[in-house]
Amino acid sequence: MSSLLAQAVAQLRSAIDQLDGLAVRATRAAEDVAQGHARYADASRGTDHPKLRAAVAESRIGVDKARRLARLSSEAARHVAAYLNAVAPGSAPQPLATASGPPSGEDLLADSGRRDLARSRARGFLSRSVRKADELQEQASKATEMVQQSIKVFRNPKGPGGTHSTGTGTPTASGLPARPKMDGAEAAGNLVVVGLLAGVAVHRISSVIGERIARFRGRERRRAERSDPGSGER
Amino acid sequence: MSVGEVKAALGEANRLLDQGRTTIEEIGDDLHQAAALLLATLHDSRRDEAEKARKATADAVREVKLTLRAINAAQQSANEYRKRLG
Repeated sequence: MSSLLAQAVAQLRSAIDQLDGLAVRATRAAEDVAQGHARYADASRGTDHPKLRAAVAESRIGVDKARRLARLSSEAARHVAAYLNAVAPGSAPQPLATASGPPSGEDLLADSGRRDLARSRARGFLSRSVRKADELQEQASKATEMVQQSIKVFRNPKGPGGTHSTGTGTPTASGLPARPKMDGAEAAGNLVVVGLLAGVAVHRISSVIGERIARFRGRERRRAERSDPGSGER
Repeated sequence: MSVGEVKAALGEANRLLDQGRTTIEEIGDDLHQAAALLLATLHDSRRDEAEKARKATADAVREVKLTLRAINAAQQSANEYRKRLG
């Protein structure tokens, strides 16, 4: 998971904890007010003074409002949790998220990173980002590693190449699922994230990746051309 | 209930409501922080869950005010009655 997404997840988790805690405290406050209300009710027995009746009624409203506050706080916590599960399923590190994952992560990042984080939490955020530079670098190299792995799969669709060429179609077929995998999850999950922090750097990374793919494709094409006479021999 | 008992009950109720108000005021402060964090992180997200979370939080913020208003009104009414008892 990207560090920015991780930060957004951490913030939302913290918000959930806070809201849950507020719900508990609001319930406690409601109990206090409810006891106060009971005492007013005790005192109002045997008298019909409007002021005391008002105190009974108003404290009752206070109890209801405090309970509603508790309910709304835990409702908000549940909705945040649902949101979190939707945009970062399980909040577990999932570099290859489901198809709906990456765009949601993108949304989340666009929300938090580009706008309000940049505005209201800019200082802390930026200094943390600097501290996380190494981590990001690692992620970038992981992305590169992944591309290399994809290329390996691409290159050797059925084990070590060269023994026999089953044809030119197979590598392309295995390459197709590999590329969206990288484009979707890695580009959205990593590259976009990195891009928020260091657009230029990530641009270079992606151009390197693009180059690798282009180079590899070229190689594959050449290899395919070479293999054509080979398959003709069969 | 004797006048003394009524006064004691009113005093006890007053103390309990004070306690409740203190808690609610603290909740209000923390809720504002949580809401700010939440709105910053969810900002602009049109997902259903995000909308609901924002709405529930905004409603909770409003409920803090309403709770405090009700507690204050109850205490004020009770105090006015208490003055009559001497």
